[in-house]
Amino acid sequence: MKKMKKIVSALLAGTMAAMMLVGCGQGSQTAGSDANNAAQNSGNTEETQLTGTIEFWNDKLQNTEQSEVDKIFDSIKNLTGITVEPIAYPDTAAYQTAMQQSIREDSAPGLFTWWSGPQLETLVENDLVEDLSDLWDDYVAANGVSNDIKDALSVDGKVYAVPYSIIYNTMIYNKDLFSQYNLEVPETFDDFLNVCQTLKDNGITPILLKNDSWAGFIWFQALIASFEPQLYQDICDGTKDYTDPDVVKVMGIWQDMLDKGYFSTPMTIQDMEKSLASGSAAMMLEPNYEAGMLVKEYGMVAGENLGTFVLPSMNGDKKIIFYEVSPLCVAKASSQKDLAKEVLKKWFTKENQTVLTEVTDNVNTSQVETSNACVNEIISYTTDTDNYQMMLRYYENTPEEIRDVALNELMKFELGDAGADQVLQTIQDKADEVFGK
Amino acid sequence: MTAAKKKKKYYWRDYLYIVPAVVMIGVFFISSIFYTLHLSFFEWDGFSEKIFVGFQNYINLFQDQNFLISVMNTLIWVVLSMVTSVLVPLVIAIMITRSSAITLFKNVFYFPTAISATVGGMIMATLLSTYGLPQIFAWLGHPELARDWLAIPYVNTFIMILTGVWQGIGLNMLLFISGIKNIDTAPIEAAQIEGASGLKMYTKVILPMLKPTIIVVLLMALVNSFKVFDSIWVMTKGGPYRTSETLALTMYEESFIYNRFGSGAAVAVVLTIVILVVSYFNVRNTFKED
Repeated sequence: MKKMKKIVSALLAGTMAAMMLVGCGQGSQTAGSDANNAAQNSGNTEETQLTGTIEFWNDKLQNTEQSEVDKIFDSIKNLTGITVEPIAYPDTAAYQTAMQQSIREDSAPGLFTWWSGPQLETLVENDLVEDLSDLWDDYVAANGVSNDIKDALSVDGKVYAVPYSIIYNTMIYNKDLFSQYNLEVPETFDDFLNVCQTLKDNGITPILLKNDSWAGFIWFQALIASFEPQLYQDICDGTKDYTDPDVVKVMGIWQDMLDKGYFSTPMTIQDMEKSLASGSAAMMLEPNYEAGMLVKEYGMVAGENLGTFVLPSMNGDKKIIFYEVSPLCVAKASSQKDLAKEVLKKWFTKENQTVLTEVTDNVNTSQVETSNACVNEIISYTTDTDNYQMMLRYYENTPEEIRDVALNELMKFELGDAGADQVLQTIQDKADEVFGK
Repeated sequence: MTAAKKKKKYYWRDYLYIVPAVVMIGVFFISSIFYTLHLSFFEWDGFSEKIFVGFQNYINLFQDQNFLISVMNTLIWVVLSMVTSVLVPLVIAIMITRSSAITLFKNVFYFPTAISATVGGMIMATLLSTYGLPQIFAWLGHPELARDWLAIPYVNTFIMILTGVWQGIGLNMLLFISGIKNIDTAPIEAAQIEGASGLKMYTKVILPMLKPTIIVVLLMALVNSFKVFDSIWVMTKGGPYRTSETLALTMYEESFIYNRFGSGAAVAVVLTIVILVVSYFNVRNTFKED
């Protein structure tokens, strides 16, 4: 019996050791080959084209057909000689978990998409992403990416990401309805209110609202910045309180618009598109890709019966375009980081961005035009710095603890389930806690 | 080799057969439980260093309005699911067993059960959106009802429970039909001779004999309503403003949406304890009566 036990123990120990060795062996083999790869790469001179394979993890391309995805990465391979293998996660939570588990390993992806604001800051604070400041001027801004975006990708003055996609939020409207009721694109906020009233009087819902749980901030940020752009920035960074008299005043304007029936009840984005295309509603404040959806899915014609404008200022300031940007980062621990940086040097070339825009409908550089007149119109606003100013949207522009509370409270307000005073006080209580007031 | 030694040898070998299962459960299940418990005492965003906070996550939970709403919603789900999961399928089962087209009705009522909760949720979300059923009410002269019903706070919880009932009717109905058909006919005939009929026959004779089936259905409804996640996630994602969350959804949101893994783990621990306690009493009572 004793002998039997010894044999079984020896077998078990042997198996375990073998398994550990297999595990470690696999790890060292990968690390070894990547290290060799990196060593070979680092040994190359600038003139020699680097070759190799890197992974590009993301949660953006999961709904794009493989043949379309291939176009992007064939393009980058032609430009750099480096093979980029996209790995698209179907679910954001699964993607974040995978990154949490991998980002400290040398097997981490060379390139990956992330979120700006506090989530990018978390990666930087933990020293998990490469400083890409050296690339910005020569390879990113030089290829026509707006320098206004740089701040959203920087922490303490250093750039830690480049934009994978830049999304601009503007008013998208049904031009046929405007023509039918002799309405012009509003130049002042009073004009805008008159447009809303005329539409309402004619049985048209002026503005569509989205029912996503996070969407409560869309009109809050728009109206605050329309009142005074600096006020928006001040409440985001805690310089001013949410209970500031000016914020209360803006909430009063929003309440008045809600009471007058200028907004629809919140609905799904599909129902918003249907309402705008069918002419039962006139306007929505949405990202530029919605103009693409309305053309592709509902047969609207950009520039003919579909137009865009930016919400006018209440006090004669520049009109504010809110943008959101998806950062494209390089994992610091990754053995592929040098190759990844080489890829980024060509990522913003006109050739590559043209393909990217064709596939994703995102326009990141001023060098690229789309076939959608509305999207081109939106891009033209962003370059007209005399009349327009870009600001990072609220979601990424304020600490997430405050944001999470604010999103719920503002949706309560939008649905008429809480008054402005109560909502602002609740958000301010959280802001006091976070900003240590 | 003596008989005792031989017996001992085989006894030892028997345990070897269950080693793979024990290892799998130990690695993937038991260790997860301990890790979740461990995590619930820390503040962690998934990237930074874990910070030990003791019971602070639990204290915060019970001071958080969203968590309390989530607890209330879970209780509403549990109570209503248990009542409706028994009553509706039972009534349908009684009616169907008396019908001549029993196979047709069985198939019709079972069909929603064949659809996954996610697909069922998506069907209902489309049906109840602005241009679905609500639009019919608008045409009938009630424009105020032409809105996304799943976007109405608190009301949407009841709509989602009804969706759950719609999807759960089929299985429970089949269990009741099977139960009714297996009832011993002697007591029923005796009751008929004694003059019992109609409602009295059901309340005094048939339902008491269906008790084992009712207990099974109740237990299933209890567990399913505590862990409900997929249909809510598809229909409302817990919104608007977190008013339709249940504990399972709060656990997921805290962990994977807000990246507050400690807080999410604390919700998981609370949910586990509640389910354990409720299940213990239910199972104990069931076996006691058997």
